[in-house]
Amino acid sequence: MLILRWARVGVQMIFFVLYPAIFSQAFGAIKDIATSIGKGEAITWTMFTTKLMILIIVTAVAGRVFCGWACSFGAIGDWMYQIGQVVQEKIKKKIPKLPDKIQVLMQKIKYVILLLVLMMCFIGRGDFVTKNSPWTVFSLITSGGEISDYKVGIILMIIILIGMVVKERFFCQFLCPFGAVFSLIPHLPFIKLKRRSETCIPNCTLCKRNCPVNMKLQEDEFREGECIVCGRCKYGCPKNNISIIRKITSLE
Amino acid sequence: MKIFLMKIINCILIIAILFSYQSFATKREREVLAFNQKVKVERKEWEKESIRISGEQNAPKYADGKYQGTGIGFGGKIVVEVSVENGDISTVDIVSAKKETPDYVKMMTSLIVAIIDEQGTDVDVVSGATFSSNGVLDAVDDALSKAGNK
Repeated sequence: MLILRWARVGVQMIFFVLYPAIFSQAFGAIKDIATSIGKGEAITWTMFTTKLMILIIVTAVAGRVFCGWACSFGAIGDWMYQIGQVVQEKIKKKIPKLPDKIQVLMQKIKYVILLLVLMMCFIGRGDFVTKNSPWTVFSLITSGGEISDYKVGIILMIIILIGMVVKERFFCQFLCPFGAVFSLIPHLPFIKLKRRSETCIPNCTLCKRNCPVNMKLQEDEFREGECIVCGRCKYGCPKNNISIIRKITSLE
Repeated sequence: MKIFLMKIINCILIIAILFSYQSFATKREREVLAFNQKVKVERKEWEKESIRISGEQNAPKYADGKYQGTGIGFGGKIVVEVSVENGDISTVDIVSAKKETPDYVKMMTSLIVAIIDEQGTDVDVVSGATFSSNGVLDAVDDALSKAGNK
């Protein structure tokens, strides 16, 4: 299982170096669609729209693998959290865990953000979003641009970075408007992490406690879209009950 | 399973709405384009007519030559070179856009076509590349200010 863990870190690093802007470009395509409709113009197909379509299809087939394995912003989140963990171990102090109910509630914030962003674009103020977005700051940093003009974005970015240290995948599960889009996409039931619940130890919640988005597979279908296919549940399970391939037994 | 079905229905609904919107919008845009084309042709003819009557030609807007101008794009300076031939903008080249992502620079091609078509910078920005577009437009304006008829 160690291989899987390092494979993810490796893939994240490769994508971070080669394609750090996919998430903002593909989400930009969504913003463009909302802007065009707001203006009453035809939607223009750009290379960003192509990227968006690829991500949507990948998510429909294999779940949010992009979020967990390829998104550079998500990778930053993982790394910030890891640094935080190491520091916490060194100073022998632990940040208290977020109560489950609050975490689940906070996961709804991203839908509100998505709605607000789309509405801003629709009324023709999409540039306001771009000017104040922490993503713009992130894109500028990765492309080596000048960020001093984007004060709001810098402040938001710092807040997000702190959040990432405190809570694993803070941005992805609570705030990311693209994550909100992904979690609404129907995920076909073929390539999917599944739990063989028949052999589970009663009342065991190890997978749930390992999960960055606090989820036990097949427990709450409503939140299934939160899964970012990180595989943490898989390599924590003492019974090895979690698998990506459909078990024959569960078909019967 | 219920939620999965709901998501599928939502997805199909959104796709259907987007498609019908798109077909409606393209149809309307085509009509507007055809109308604008007609107006343009009429205006050209009218101009020719007025020149024939008055017997004199309007002085060209820009002096011939090559002019460089700069503008600020997404992450830094964009330098363009505008060539003027026979008083018309004939080419616009992006000389340097170091801080611009190559993808965005590629998207500027359609903007440049629009600038040459319009013979000015009163054109729509490329959606998805607002910052780069404005940078290019500013740079062209800067260059044209140097090409102003003296």
